[in-house]
Amino acid sequence: MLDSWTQALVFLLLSFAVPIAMLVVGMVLRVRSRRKTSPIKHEIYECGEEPDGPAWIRFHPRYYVVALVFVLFDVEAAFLFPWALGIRDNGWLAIADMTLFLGILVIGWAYAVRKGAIQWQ
Amino acid sequence: MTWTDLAPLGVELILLAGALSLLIVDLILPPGDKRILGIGTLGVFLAGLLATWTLPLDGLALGGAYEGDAMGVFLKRVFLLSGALAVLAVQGHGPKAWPRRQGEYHQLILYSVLGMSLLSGVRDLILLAVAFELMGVPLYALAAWQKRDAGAAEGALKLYLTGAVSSAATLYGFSVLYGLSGSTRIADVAAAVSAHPSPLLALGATVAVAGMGFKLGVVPFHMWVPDTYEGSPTPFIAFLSVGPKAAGAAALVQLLLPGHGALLGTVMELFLVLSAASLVLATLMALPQSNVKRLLAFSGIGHMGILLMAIATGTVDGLASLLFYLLGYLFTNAGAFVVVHAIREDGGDDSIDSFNGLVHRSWFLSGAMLLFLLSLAGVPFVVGFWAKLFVFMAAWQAGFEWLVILGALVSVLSLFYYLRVAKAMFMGTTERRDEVPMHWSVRLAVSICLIAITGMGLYPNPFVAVAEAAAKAFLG
Amino acid sequence: MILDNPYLHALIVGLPLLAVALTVAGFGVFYERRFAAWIQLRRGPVWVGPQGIFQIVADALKMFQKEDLVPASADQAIFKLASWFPMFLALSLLAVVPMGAVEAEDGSWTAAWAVSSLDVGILWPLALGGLMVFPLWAAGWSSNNKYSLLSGMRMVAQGISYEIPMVLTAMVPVILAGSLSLDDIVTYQMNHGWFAVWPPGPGLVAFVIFFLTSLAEADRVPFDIPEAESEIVGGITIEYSGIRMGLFVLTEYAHTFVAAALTATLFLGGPHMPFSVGPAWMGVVWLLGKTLFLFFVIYWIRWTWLRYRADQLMDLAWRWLVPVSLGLVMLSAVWVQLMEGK
Repeated sequence: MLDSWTQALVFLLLSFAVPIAMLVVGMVLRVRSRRKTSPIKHEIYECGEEPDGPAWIRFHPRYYVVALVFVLFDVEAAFLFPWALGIRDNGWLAIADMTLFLGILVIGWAYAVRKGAIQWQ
Repeated sequence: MTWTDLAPLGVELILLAGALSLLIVDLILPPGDKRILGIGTLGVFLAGLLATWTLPLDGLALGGAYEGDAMGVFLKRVFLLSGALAVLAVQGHGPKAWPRRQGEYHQLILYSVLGMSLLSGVRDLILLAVAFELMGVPLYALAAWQKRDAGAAEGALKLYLTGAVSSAATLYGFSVLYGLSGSTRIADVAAAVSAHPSPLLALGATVAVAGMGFKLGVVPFHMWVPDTYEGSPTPFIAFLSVGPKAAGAAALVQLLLPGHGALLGTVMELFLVLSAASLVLATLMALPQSNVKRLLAFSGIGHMGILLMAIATGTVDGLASLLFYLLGYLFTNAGAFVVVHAIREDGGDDSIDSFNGLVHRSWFLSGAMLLFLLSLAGVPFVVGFWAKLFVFMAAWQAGFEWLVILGALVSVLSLFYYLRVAKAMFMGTTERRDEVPMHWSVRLAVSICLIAITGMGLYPNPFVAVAEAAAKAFLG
Repeated sequence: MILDNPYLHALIVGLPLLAVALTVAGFGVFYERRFAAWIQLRRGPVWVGPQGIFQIVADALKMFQKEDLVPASADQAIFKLASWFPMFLALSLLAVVPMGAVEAEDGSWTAAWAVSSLDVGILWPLALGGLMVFPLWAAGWSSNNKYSLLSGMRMVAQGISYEIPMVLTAMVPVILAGSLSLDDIVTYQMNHGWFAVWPPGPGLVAFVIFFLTSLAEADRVPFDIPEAESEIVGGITIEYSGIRMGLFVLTEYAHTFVAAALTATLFLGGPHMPFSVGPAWMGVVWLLGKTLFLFFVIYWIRWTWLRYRADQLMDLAWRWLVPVSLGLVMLSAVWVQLMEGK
């Protein structure tokens, strides 16, 4: 049990090392300019034009609505996992319970769809 | 667990099923006139009320986290009535003012009442927190209902921020209580407090009570109240100023009183200070107000002081007086706000000046408003008098003489600002002589409140008897 | 046995696994170009080495050598952090995939040779994969470029929208096998049939939806609106240069490979052989074969399909995939009750 977590963490470190190693190799191999670099090199690329103001601006609220609906369903999925493991032991009552729970959720989903919360056009 | 364990939650199930079916109806109906939703919501509330008499609601549910008893039934009736009045009064206004959001208004009120209803019998800290949030979250959205209005946005934001902070405080307090007592059951917590009193437990209880104080809007947690009242639709305020306050009081009662008031003892000083501060400051701040809604808001803060006084007694008499007070306050305050709503619909702007000469335009509204104001001030022959009297008597017996004297003085002083509105209505002048137009729903709501406050004012005995029975059932 | 030491086990199983994943990802970049050329009746890169197979080496050298430019007005720290984080996340998902199949005396099969046999198995890739939106959005935001920001926002919206049906369809194998552990899920499939085939219907639909949402999570066509190069100039990678840019490209292929491997594990029986021949290590070959087949299908879709519009993407996810996957969860629960319930 603890062993499997150790293994997983070691693998996590290994996969962590891969991009780091690539960055290090890049640091060694890459070309550096000898002269002082021009500030134009460090400009933002906007298809060749000079950048017009910063990009950190206010955004369309539809993304926010999607995030809200996502949180709702993600929490619901978190509830589903323990239930999914207990189906064999809890029998039809488990299915009836979850049908009720999901039924309420589906009504909420229908509400979001019908009121255009996720309509992007 | 089986399904029959849910029997004590009959009213809640009716509310939930009704809310969900109305949501489906709202989705199926084409956009446009959706009056049917308001009527359906009223039907759900009436069905819930009927169920409080017909269904067997006593007993444990949710594995012991909820217990139905006579006090719960009494409170449920108060909550259902406050929801029903708020929905009734908006029937004329809603379809005209916000035709696309009728469904949501009724839904949110239903869910909020569902949360309150669960609060009426909590025996567990977790259910208490969850039900409190279920009650509170719809209120944030409802407070921001007039979303294009800067004042409404400000009031709603204040309500939301204080609400979020107070929820956090309440939960921190609960976690301290749980950590020190090892149980989330309120009875166990109370037992642990009496067995091993510790300053940390007192700290947990204090933080939890302070969090609930935010929701109640007692001084010094009252900043949101006037702004929210001013910016929100008035029928919703008729609900917000009554239902959630009653539910907050109910939550405090169920958290603090079990186990012979063990937890109450740890926060007694805080309670008395908050009560006195609310009584005095609210009255002083209400005096200069020129807006009726703000005036009623500060008056409501003062009334919270009296509620706290009733809870602080911790006796059967005190609890019975609290329950009776809630019932009387429900009709009085809701009625007053519905009258304000009617004046607003007529083109007024909630200022006292817009009440000028109302008697020449509608003797019904001006007479009703006068009675509501007298009841708020606590003048005999309307329910407010008995309600205050019972609370003061119970508090006197419990030994809070100074607080009672303070309350009585403040009540006299409050008569002054209530009568400013009355003076405008009866002695002010106006050019207009046209009858104030009233939707049938507003007339019905005002009439119900009027009958209730005069009926209870003239013959309070049966209601007091029910409240006493309920208090005895809870305190045993 | 030497593999009893968890550190050695993770190194011995993990290093070759990472090597294979990176090789496939790198080679995939080249192979995709040849494949696209083949579909479009042109030749593609054929000059570096026989049939151009050393093209990837040339590309890599070029990437390593380029100057590391960071825009002056970007949020420097986040900009740099975001460049290597996605690769780390994409590779780490592989930790729980079992790669071997062991046959017992009585003919029953057991899954083996995962880097880690976590008992919460499936939650590992779902949780770490769910983190993927953070670095991608951070990259889009910190660049201080309008196209990048648009791309980052689209990535988050798409990522979280398709995560819901992905999690829900991943629950179908969990319900059917009665365990979160990928070892148990694969073992169950070995003895009862692949989930894409059995139970008939729900399994296949869940397989298709999971595969589609994996495409969306990896931002592959037809779900590549976040980096639509004809519209927002390549999205979050605009301001990146040199090896940081290379990391993003490689990550996309690595993520695709990992998504294919997970799909093969959850629904196609992982290392299971449909007929029992060969030694246990043949399981690895089978798993790689299935993964590469799915990898190929992803290319195939990419070069034959059109890109979805942003609103069509949202519509597909929320209006169709979410309710269908909820239905699949309930259907498989009922199936389990009917077959094995008490």
